[in-house]
Amino acid sequence: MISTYKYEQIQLLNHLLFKNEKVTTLTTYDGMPIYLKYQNLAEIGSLPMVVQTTHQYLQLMDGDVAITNDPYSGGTILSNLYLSIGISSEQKKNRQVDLLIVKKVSLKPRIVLGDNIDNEGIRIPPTPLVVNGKLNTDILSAMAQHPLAPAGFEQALRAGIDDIKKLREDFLKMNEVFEIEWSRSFIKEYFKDSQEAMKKFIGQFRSGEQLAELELNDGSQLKLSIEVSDENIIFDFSGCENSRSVHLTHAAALGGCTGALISLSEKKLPINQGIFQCIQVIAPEGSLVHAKYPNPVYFGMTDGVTLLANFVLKAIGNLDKSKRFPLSGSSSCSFNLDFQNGVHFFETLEPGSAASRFKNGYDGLNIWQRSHLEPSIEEIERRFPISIDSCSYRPHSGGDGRYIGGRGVVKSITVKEKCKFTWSINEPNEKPLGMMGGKDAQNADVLIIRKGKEKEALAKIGSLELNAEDRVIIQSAGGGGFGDNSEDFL
Amino acid sequence: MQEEMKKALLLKMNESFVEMGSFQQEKLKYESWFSTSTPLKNKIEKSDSFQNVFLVTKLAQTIMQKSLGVSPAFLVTNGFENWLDMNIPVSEDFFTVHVSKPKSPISKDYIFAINERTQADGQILKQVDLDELDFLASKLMLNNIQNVAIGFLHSKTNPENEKIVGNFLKERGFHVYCSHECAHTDLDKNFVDSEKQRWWVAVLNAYIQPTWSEEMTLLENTLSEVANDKVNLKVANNNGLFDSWSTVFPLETIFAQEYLTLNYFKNQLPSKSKILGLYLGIEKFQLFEVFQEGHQMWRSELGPVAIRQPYFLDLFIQPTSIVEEGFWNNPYLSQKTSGYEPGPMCFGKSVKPTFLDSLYLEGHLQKVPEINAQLVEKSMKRISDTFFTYSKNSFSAELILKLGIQGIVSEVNKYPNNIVYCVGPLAPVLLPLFKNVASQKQFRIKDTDNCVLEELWLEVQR
Repeated sequence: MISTYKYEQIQLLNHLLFKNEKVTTLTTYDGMPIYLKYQNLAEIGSLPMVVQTTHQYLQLMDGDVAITNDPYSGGTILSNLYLSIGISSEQKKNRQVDLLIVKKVSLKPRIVLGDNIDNEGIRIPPTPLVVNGKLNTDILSAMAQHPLAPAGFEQALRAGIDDIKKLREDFLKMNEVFEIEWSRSFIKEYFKDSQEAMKKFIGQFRSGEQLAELELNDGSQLKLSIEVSDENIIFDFSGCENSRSVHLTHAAALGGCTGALISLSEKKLPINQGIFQCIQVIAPEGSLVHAKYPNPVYFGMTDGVTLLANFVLKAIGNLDKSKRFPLSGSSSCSFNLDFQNGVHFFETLEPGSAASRFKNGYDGLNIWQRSHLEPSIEEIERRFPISIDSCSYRPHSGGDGRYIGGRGVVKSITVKEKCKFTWSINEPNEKPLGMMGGKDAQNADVLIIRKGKEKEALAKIGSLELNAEDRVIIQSAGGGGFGDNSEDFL
Repeated sequence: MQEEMKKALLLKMNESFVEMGSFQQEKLKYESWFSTSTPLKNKIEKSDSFQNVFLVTKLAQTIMQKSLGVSPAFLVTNGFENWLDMNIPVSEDFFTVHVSKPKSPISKDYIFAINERTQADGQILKQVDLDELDFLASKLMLNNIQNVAIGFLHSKTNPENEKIVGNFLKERGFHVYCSHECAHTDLDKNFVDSEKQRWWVAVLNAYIQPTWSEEMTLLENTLSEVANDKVNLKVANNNGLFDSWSTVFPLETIFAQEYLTLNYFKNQLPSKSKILGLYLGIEKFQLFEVFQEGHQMWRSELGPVAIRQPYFLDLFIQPTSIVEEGFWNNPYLSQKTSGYEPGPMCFGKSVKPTFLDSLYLEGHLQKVPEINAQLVEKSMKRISDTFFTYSKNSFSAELILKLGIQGIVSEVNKYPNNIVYCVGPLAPVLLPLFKNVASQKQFRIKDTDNCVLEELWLEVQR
């Protein structure tokens, strides 16, 4: 059939077009994703929403560029900026668009402890930046001069605008080769066939319903009823409370649920509107999986969505025993060091991944993050007044078993000047679970050694002043083990 | 021409395919074949006389990719024993519970923490303890470890501690690779010196060297036996210069072929600033930005490695790109390649169809002399049946071929240059197919199958 050949053309065109991009999507003009490339869970659900909200408020024409980072408009954390560009695939004279490309521009995050998103950084609703080929320098300057705009804001944004314009040009050149006609009827057929293929994937799961509950370390409860039929899968979070610290948008919750589901496939599944037709997320507004403005979202969009995905995997595993896996660590142990001259250092640590039926888990590998490269120690020590004493795998932190869970990471840092240390670990109260006799792993923690004093454990979330020569030790969680070494199991 | 030049033998040896150039009857003659079916010895006539052999080879890369090296000892600043392993990227670009990472070339048992520390400004906080080194050397000897890689923090700023340890071990007979010595740090304009990139150079050289040495000795002996005299075997490095194989760092040879191809385009073709070069070889499809000066850093499957790489791109579509069953129950061209062991289905051995098999079914591959001898006619039905099992709707080889051609042309289309010169054994077959695809590019052919050897010959004469 010619049509499925055209679907492979769509995959190949987008794969080649976005080869050097980490996070991007091609959508219809009204925000239905045709192709999506992600780096974390939240983006799976939030990227299409960027276009949907942008389309709601702005009418982008061919070549026009808009920006948003507002989580309540489809963004994630405020340091991630999302640029959208309109494309008229047939280069119509009236510049009417049928497609859009979204691209992420990442700036350095900052953890801010508080209860209002507007304290987390500059929040930008969908805003036009380039209109009819002209860059709106006034808006750009105004954003760059905002007191909460991160360092390098304008430079990064200008580079991002150049990049997204190049992506549009490349798309048109490549589409010339593939000769794809992006008619509404063709796209509808693509989504419909994708939905049918996704039903076959879901059809491999045992049908039925399963309830699951989880308590977070701030005492809030996550409740999920998962229902699998031949046609679709429903994630019902009715009964979920609000949380003191973890807030996800509905789009991020969709991303977490979808990411967990597709991770059970051995092959890569394309992300488009068709597959979303088979997934439904019911999340009561105001709950921790459907946050409302002005709830802050940093923790929800990072640790929150990871623990949600782990929780969903656990629930699916309880329903369908063939899909059971031990659990990986969920928190990425984000922390800041803010020095008096405005120098800002930010970092995360990867947890260990769970063991499987066939092999040990990986040490220091977050299976829900696709950007794993740690920054250079030499570069950090050149640029910041800190010394990295050590960075290694955390001994005995993975769950024991026939197959051992991956170890977490332990990082020790000595500060050379006074600074403010802010950290956050959001994870369930229970440890990363082992399975079938495999042991649970260790949870994450943070320790401090003041100069001349003993080691002291800190709370999971907090902020305090450090003096020169104080040392902090951050330890990420391990992954659960699988099986035991008993004769019965073997 | 000097007499010794006439006695030169040129060899390009890749994973599965060999090209040879020799001076016969006052002319340079070329021959190429699959090394899996015919050993080199059988191809070199005993009557050929040669003394100097100039080799361009992908051996170092093959050793690395197929995990054929020997784990060295890795001496690293205390506290950072796991640092390289931590930074090996995940293989998959999608979420999966079945996640995987490339295997580190260093055995965990062979990583030794050294109590030393240099600060970012070069000041040494902790000197190396020679007693500790003595004990370490005994341990290495006990474990029969001969190759040692050394990676200390800030060793580029102040290499003193690396030098002390390196000299200590060299005096005791170890082959030592210090990161401050073997890494390149004058790479692209955005380059920032980083310990990971530098340490990988030392580790990979130490890892590859034993197998490299073994294979090169074997090759040198084989050539000497045929020549009835000791031959002088030199290897092309990443700068197009020649080194003795026994003294060159193996990683210094991995891009020699690409360097020579790029130089061929620069030297042989008009208006270098206006063209792209497309190499369509038996084993690789590569795109060369002929107009780009300078180098970039090598991005390996283990992460960035501080080695100079010319500006070229391995295309997504490769000759042995595997055809797999896709999401919509149809065949598609995956990112995985099968190589030539066992090779495409049309060679009669493999069960996984490749891009080359679609060329074969459409009657194009038979026109390539280097491949024609390998083709098994009976395989045609087997390949057709395999395509059919992937899609009950008869998604044909013609469409797979078209998808592959579109994939190649669309990658080329991203570049602003309009003229694309194609070289390589598959160029005559693919060029007419490119012209059937809508594109602004002008594809032209430069009639040579052996551009690398031609350029190698010019380098030899220089």
